[in-house]
Amino acid sequence: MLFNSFEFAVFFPTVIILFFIMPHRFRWAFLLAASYYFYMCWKAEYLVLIIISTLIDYFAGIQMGKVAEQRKRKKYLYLSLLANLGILFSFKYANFFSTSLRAGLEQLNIFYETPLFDWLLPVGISFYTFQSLSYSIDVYRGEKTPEYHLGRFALYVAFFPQLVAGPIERSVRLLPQFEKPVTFQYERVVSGLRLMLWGFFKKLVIADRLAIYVNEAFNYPGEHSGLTLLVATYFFAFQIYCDFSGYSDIAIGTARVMGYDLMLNFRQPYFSKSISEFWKRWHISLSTWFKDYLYIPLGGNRVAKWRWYYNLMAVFLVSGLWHGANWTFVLWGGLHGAYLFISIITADIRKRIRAFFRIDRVPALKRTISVIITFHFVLLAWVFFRANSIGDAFFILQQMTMLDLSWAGFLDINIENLGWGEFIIACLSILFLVVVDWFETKIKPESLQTYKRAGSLKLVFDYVILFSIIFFGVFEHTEFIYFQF
Amino acid sequence: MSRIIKFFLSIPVIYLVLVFVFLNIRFQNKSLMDLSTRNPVVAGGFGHSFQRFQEIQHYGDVDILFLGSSHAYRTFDNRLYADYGLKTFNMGSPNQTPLNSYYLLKKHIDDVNPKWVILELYTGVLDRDGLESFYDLATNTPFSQELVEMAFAINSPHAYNKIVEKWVQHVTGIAPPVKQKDFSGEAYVAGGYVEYSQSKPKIMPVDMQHPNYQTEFAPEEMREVELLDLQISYVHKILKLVSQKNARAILVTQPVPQAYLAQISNYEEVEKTINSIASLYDVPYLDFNKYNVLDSYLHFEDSDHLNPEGVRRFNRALIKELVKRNIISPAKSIVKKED
Repeated sequence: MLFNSFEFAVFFPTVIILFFIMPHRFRWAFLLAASYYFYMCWKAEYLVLIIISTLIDYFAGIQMGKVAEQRKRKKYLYLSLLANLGILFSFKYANFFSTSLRAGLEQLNIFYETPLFDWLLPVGISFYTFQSLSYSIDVYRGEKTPEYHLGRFALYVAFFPQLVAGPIERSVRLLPQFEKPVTFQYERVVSGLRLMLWGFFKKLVIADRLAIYVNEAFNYPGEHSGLTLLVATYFFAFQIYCDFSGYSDIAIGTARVMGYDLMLNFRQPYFSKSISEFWKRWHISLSTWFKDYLYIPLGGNRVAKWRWYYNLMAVFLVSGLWHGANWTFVLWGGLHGAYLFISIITADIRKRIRAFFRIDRVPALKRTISVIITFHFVLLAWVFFRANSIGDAFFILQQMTMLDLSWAGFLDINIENLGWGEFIIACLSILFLVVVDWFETKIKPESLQTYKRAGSLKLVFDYVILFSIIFFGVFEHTEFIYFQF
Repeated sequence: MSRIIKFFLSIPVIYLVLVFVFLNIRFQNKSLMDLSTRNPVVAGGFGHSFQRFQEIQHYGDVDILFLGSSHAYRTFDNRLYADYGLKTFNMGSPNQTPLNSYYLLKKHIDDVNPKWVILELYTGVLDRDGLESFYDLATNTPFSQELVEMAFAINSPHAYNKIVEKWVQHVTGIAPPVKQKDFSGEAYVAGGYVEYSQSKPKIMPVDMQHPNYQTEFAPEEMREVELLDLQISYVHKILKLVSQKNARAILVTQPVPQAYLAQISNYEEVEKTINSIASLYDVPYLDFNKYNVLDSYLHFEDSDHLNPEGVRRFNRALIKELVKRNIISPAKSIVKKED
């Protein structure tokens, strides 16, 4: 079931009403049934994978709780790792590795038909396997006591607001919330609805509108001018941000209405002043997952320099692969790893350049330049993320170096599939988003999690958002981009 | 708590005010709302729907009523049927899907009391939601209960916005004057047919590998027609309605070039589905893609529409088939002419 569907418009209020009139002791069962139904609306049989993952991790957690000896606990951790990563590999990566192996062998003049599997990628598989896995690792490390209530644990794995595209929650945060009784709180419900509204605006007004333009340009790059491809790349940066952060807002808002707090997943990432800051603001739940469960176990930065760089690159390559079974994603991750590596080794030089030009004396200028440069590095990497192949990505980049910046070139921007009216609406809505995000950078991060939004004009803001969705939304039931991950 | 109730109650009021305001902000003959929805339709525009639905109101009873998309209004030439003494009306309109056809039929069937209803089933409309046609009809026809029902059947916020806009126009009487525009190369013929005469005759290569075919005529890639249950259910509804009104229905598919057909990966499945519906209601289904009456090279205007010669040949073949099935009587003068 998509958040942006009529089915959800019926499902959500029904669930909320029943949830609040139901006694606390039955709520976990009701939410679990609702979550499973939510997932089954997509493809019922794939629910089995979630149940398998849930049962194995539940069992591993209980067993790890019974033994104090690290070696014996490790056995159950391996079981959890094997099961979750096995499911993920089989359904997401098997064909990718198979075709890559075939292509590699062909280079060596060995023609071998590696097997290919004809199955659909289960929606949200990367999200729920990582969430479930984090529980097993936390129990293994002793950071979390095992959850003995199977129903509540199953709900933790399948909680419908964040089941298919995150935020990837941690058991230490979410599981205890299911145990505590929640009551209807007006302020919290309104705050949740408001966040959902903002998420829908980002998805329906901005992301889905930009998608029309972006899909045409990136799917047929050979038919468009460099300027069109450049515009499409800028549009994609905002499309993916609005699509994914919009989903997160709806998820967090939905959970908040019911009285549960999910972690913040985005914090105005395009206002980052460096790539490392970008990763503290973009898909925070995934970045912290990789930090806690991969980067730090690898040694983090408390190792020899070469090993530190290796750790960084390894984490970003895996992160790229997590996003999709395609070399374009691996390259995208590698590019971000390279950015961080370069930013570390050029730190001194950049400091000297800033001192030479006395940029540090004007903090606003320094900040603006940093934000613009960071944004464009991120933009460059998005080309690889969105392109259908590495060849396409390089072709697009090549085309973008041959821009016709004349008036005729500007008129040559192909907006046939969008139309000028929609093109203008798209640009204005991006501007509106940037302004709102800029205002939100002025708010302390912790206050973003509180229920009150700053500003005396919030009611007007809500009306503007609501009617923008009604009149200017694109209602073509487009799936969220991150569902595929 | 009362604040949130007030907020929700205020939504419909503000919504109506905004619809009214947007209706009056016009750019290039489109309201602000139309501009924001990729709605290509303008009043009195392409497809001659405005003229057609003005005409039908005082057209009188007919022998045959045609329904369908551009494959209907650009195909069934009323004049060719008049030669057989048949009075026909072509109620086709741009991108009209069975869903749209049903509500149009419901509205107008008593106006024209057809003996026969011919529903053209072009594969290209069976996987559409009917929104584009709804825009056209809501823009070019008066507000009606059937339009409201159509909006609910489509169940899209865009359709709801459009029908509310139409209702506000209807209630306030504020509507821009509509005049049918003329388009070069096309002419409206009394009875609903639109004649397309090529300004520059195109030659359709038979060979789908021919470079000209690839660039000018072929659909971009192989495609599967996703038969929407919604549209199939409306084919059923049309056939039931026709039967209730003591008329007879015929399902027809206008031929498309061989190459176009070859690029529909599941054409057989589509045909099988339509055949099963036709059998269920005991109505003929005439798929002219099986009749081999047209030349892919010579009889098409573009990738799927007929050119004037194609129209003439196709209608002649259809009439011949209808005569053969004793659906219409052969006209003596025509038989002579044909001989």
